[in-house]
Amino acid sequence: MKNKLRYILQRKNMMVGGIIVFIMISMAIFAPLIAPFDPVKDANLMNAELAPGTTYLLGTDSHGRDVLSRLIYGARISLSVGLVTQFLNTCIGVSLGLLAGFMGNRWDDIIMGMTNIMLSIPAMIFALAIMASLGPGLINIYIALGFTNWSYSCRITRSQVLSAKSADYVKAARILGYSKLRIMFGQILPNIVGPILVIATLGAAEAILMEASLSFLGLGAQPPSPSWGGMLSSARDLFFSAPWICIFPGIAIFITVLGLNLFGDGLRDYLDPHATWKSN
Amino acid sequence: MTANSSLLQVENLSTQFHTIQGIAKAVNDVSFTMESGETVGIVGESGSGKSVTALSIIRLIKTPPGRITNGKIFFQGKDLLAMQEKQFQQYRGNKISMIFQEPMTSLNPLFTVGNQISEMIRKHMALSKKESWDRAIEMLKKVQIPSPERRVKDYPFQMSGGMRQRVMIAMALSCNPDLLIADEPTTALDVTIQAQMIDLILKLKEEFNTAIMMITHDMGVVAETAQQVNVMYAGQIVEQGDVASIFKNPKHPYTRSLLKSIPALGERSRHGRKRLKEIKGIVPSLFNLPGGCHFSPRCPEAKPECFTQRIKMKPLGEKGRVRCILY
Repeated sequence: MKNKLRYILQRKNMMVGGIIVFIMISMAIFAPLIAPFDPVKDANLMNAELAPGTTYLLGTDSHGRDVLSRLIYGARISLSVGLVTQFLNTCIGVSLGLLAGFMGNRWDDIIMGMTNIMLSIPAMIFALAIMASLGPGLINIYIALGFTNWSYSCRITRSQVLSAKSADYVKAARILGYSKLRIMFGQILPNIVGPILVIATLGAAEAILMEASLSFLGLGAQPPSPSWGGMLSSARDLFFSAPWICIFPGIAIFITVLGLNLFGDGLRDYLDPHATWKSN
Repeated sequence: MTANSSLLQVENLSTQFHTIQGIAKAVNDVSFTMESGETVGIVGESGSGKSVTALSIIRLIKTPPGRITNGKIFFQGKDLLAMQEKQFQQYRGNKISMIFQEPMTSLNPLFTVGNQISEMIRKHMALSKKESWDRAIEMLKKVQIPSPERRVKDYPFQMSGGMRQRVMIAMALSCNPDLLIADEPTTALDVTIQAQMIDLILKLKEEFNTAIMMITHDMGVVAETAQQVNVMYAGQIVEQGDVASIFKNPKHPYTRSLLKSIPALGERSRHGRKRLKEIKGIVPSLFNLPGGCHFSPRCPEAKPECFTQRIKMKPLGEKGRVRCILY
């Protein structure tokens, strides 16, 4: 246990990524305690579009609301969208990919057919169609983005399984009497988790941006509730007159995505026993 | 056919692979029996169907393209090929186990060896985590891994090839199987380790009273370990018999040429530098086997009938059988 902790502390990318993700998540959880203003109610048109200063650290938006407070509250929506939808996508994609790759034959044909159909529909249009039929709202965003974007992780998983399943230890496991399900999840999955994590962290970033687009079209989190994507798109027109309104949400998205990617990368290294061993 | 008391009885086994190029008859009408506690060698060149025979027994032929087209396999009187997959899983690892050629890759790189052995034990025996872990250590001790209490926590990549093969043997024997199929267990190891490994397998065989099917292309390994020998060529058994008679008095021209092509230590100093005997020609393609005797195109003693006539196995002596027109 001590060794493991020391390993994590030694790895800079995992540390940085972990700290960023930790800060973002605690920001989302403790938003009411941290935020200096209410993100919605403290609107005052007298203070609209103030540049960053001492009262409003990151300035105000076109309605006179504090950008920093909105950013802090926005972490709730953006992070939860990124994490929840990507969790759903990864679970679906990985399970289907394992089935397709390991069982082969008809399973493979059917699942790859489904994947190709999903890939042929533009993700944005598909999400839009689902949102339009379910109506706007956070839960519906989870559904629209969480069940539509699994094709990449499915394909990656399948291709990884195809190369992993010919390994001798899989043959050995079969000879030693393990069931197929157990081999898939117990033997193969741990060996291919690296690329899946990388895809999942990238996908989380994509989901945050998708939510932004949906919010921009009025189908995401409903204004005035703050989401980074929504803030970004509503401030688009003011880019030259009040750049801080859209620059800061952009930076927030960027840092979160960076943190997720660094953390995913570090996690991948950490799960590789060769690396763990070297540091001991 | 009634099942008798033999441990393993393979009858007229044929396994084919249906591919785009055609049908490959990898195993063709193979029959042999094994008694419990006995070591049976299966020798032959690469591609002669040794491994496919083993995989057919343990029912791991990949279907498609592979298919067992004919034959019966009785294990302790039960027909393995008629069994449900679920039922057969109880046999794999528990009653029939297997080790193979490549020890470097046959352990899962992400789990410690102790983890892998004890998981395997828990799968087949009703033991607690602690008990199975202790048994894993005990098994490592049995395969002569030094300080097993420490090595049990090692990952496979921290071990040498020989040690990994020992771990594989420990894993394969941990549930006291009645039959151990060893598919070229020494091929990937260097010569000194090979000798140790063979000693170890023989020693453990005595201890666990496990029957061993020793698949190899190394005549030396067979001579060292086996009581019965099956010589395979192009998917068929061409000669079978006990080890002494096959080595002293090989009947089939293929067996004879095979034995002649082994270099003997010290021969050069006694008889001068000589060209090593070889078997002319190459193993026939499994897609397009020669009619008649499969060995006829390469056989030094082939007669005209050999090229056309189907040759049956003929009993020879007490236990031996040979597939040749000369007898």
